[in-house]
Amino acid sequence: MVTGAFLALAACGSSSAPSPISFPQAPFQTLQSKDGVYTVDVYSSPAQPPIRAVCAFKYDVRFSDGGAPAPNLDVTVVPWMPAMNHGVSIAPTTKALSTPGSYEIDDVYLGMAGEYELESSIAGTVPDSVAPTFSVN
Amino acid sequence: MRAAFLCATALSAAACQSSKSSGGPVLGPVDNHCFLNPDGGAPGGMMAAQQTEASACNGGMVAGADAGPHASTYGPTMYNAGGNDDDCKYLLNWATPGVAENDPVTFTVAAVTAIDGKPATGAALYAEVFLANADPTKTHLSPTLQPQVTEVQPGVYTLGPVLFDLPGQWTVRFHFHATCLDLLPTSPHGHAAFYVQVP
Repeated sequence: MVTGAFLALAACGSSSAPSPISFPQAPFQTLQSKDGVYTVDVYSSPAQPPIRAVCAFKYDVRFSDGGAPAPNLDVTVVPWMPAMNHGVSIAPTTKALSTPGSYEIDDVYLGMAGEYELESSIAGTVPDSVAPTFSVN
Repeated sequence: MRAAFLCATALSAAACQSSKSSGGPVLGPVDNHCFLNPDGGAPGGMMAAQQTEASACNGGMVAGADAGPHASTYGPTMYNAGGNDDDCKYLLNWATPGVAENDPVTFTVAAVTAIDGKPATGAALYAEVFLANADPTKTHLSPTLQPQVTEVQPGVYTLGPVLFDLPGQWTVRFHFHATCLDLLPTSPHGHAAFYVQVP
């Protein structure tokens, strides 16, 4: 139940700040959000693609229509292992970075090998969601 | 009664003692979530055990991304040093020589299958170790993320070193057959979490 509460209360974005975490120049995934409102570039650290570790991710979110950065969103992320039918025991922390449209998701605990899905709700003027998927060995 | 049963059957009596410090299992209600009698019944009582099949490791259909968002499917974290996994596939107990802050410790975990009491062999044990917080984003992970696991005898595993680097009531969630898909009820994949007090 404790963990259930953790996952249900995954973090939301708050203050804008520069990131001390280093991400690669190029994303490892670029996704359309479920309803097509946003296009999201997905980066990971300390390795890309992600590894078995406590990882961080960066989402660069822009409007699919026109490509302008999408600032002032609340991004909520729940790591999920669909093939294991469970998530992880730690809730990530999310914050907006100083670059408009950039969001950092930290403390993503990928301890178990397998397929992961970052179920990401995007709350803002136009809500949507995106779910980067990847495999960790 | 069940706690004593667990110690007597799955591990040596010595392993159920804590000698290094006052840290270790958090005493509390005995887990009985798999027993059919409301009071948990006596050892050998009726139990809703889930049979597992190795062939189920690769079976089932993964739900699409649209199925989310998900909440945890984990069961409650348990007190004491023994109990059933969330899905009633295993009966396990754990022991340490003692638990103290910043003192690496090795867990001994013994597990039998709930359906027939046979040692749970080849279980590819894995553990998540964390200190929960009322603010879930402040949950603290143990710095030892991938402790080594050895099956020292059939169904008995050592897992360590594990470092608890802060005092408090930690959670250790053991996963069995962690690489096994858990899409079918008979999948060997299982998980069970216990509180661990670190003085």
